[in-house]
Amino acid sequence: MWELHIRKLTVAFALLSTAILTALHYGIPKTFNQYDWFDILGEGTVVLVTVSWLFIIVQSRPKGPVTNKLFFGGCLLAFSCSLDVMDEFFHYAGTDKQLMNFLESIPAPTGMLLLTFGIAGWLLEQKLLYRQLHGRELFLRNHRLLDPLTTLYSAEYLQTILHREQELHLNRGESCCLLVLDINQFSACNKKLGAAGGDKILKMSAELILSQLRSTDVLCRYAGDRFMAVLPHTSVSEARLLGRHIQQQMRRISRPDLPLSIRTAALEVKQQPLSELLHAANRAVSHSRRQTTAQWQTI
Amino acid sequence: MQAFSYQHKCLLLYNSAADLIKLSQRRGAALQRLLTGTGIFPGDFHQPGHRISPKEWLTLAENCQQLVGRDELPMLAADAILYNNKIALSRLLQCCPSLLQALTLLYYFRHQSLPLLSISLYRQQHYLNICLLPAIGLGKQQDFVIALAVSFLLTLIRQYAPEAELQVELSQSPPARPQYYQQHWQQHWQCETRFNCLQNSIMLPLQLLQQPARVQLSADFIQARFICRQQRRLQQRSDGLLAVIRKKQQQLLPENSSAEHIAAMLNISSSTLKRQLHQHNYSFSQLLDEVKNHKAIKLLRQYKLTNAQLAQRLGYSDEHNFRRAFKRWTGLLPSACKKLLKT
Repeated sequence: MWELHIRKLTVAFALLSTAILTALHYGIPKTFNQYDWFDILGEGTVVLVTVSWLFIIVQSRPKGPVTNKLFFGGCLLAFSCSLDVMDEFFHYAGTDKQLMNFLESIPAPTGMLLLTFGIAGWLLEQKLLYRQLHGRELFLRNHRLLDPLTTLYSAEYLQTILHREQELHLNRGESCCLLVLDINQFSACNKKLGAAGGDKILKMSAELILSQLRSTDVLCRYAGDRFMAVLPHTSVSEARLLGRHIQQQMRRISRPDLPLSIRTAALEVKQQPLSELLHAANRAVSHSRRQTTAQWQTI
Repeated sequence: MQAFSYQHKCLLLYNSAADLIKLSQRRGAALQRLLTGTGIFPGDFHQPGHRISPKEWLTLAENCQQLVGRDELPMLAADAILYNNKIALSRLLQCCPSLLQALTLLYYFRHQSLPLLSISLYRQQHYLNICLLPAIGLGKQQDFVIALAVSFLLTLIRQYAPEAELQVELSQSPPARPQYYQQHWQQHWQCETRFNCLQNSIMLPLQLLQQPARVQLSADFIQARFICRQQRRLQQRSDGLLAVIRKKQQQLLPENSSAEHIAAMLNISSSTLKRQLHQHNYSFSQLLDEVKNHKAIKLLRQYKLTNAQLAQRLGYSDEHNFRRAFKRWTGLLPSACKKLLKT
């Protein structure tokens, strides 16, 4: 990430060098006895921490106005703090003292203000990013359960959600459905395109299915080429309709030389052990496998 | 006869590791972190014949599992290797005229794939039992390597016989969270998988191995086989240390082979042999025990033999000693095991 910020880093380096050079230029060195070691330690730590913030920002954030605010706010703060440290080693006389006082006190609050604006912008950005997560995440966040390829959540997350749905909605008599989606003849695609091509198809299908789901639904990758979506407040017939709709939409990414299609199965989530439910779901979708295999072979 | 150990550069980087790395990269793992501690450098990928040592491969496998997660990785890696058209062996396996020929060629060119496991075959009623044993000490990665190999074989078999009824036995214990993992395995393997078994094996119905009538070989097949043969000629073909010693021990049964005898056969001193085995976390007697265990199960499955006959064939002085040894290997008496195998 830091390659994006080379110009910013140059500016920061120049600023810090200016601070040290000004101090060296205007200052008169103190004698060793005059050093206040506690001050040096305290102010030195502040400088180091501020500089480490700069590195974290540069490492983790892409280019943009929010990054700029955070970075230059941090820079100004570091500038002031480093002058503060130099203060411990030099003292100034006459007009130099006024200039140095100005340099020490004005950039720090400006930097703080910039940082504050930056953090406010960051919050706003996060809110918008959460909206992007719709359809992928419900009430729980755990990055360990993410499938690294499609960035959907894995089967373990699905179980947690299903468990919660059972507790929450079923008790109130609301229906909830599980929609299973399985790509037909995925191994044939893999064979034809290689593993990289297969992964691409998985990713594309995940995006496509996700775009067709409603904002309350959550899509998880179950295993291999099988996806499962939890549809709260949905009856089985509605879920089937949605499944058929997604099946039709799959034609958009299907090519004549590589017919892509999915088979779906919808199940109602009832008060039953989860392993039973998932077993039933897998059976339901495997059941339609044989028919589709025959169809595929005719193509 | 030469045997390879951890440090020998005997694995083709492109054939065995490149797909694993690419797969992990597509799942968001950084190349640098994948290669940490392996001794492989990004530049090595551009050298077509570059070889790596088993040790480097095992470190790489560990890194991949840490960064990507271990649930699905062996299955995905197996598919990726088999479907990689740039590997001559994979291309050859894709276009064989029959399953029997594919398996034979895989065995013949095994040094071009991942020879970390040795294979032993035996017939059991209407099944062929393909049994996998570690060819060198695989340590923590044993489960991963076995799952990778089983996946590879299953996918290969399914290509020639999509509806085949297969069975898999694994010696590893079932995964800690059975519901998630088993579904992963079932989804990919689509066959009955049993854990905690006496050996790692795939049971293949013999009828699948029928040789078809003579068919015209495709041009692809001939070309791929030509490249594989060329590679084979360029390659130093050696098996893993454990595999080599096991083979010798097996040949000498029912005589109980001594470390000195085997070391002499391999042209090394017996202390070198013991030291090398120690590196693999094995001792000579442990290996001999394993060979006998394997043979006992094989005999039990194949024939109806009495304990006395079994004891004689395995080099035990009497029935009693054999029964005790068998109990130590499997936790069961031979009679109980026979019953179990019948069901």
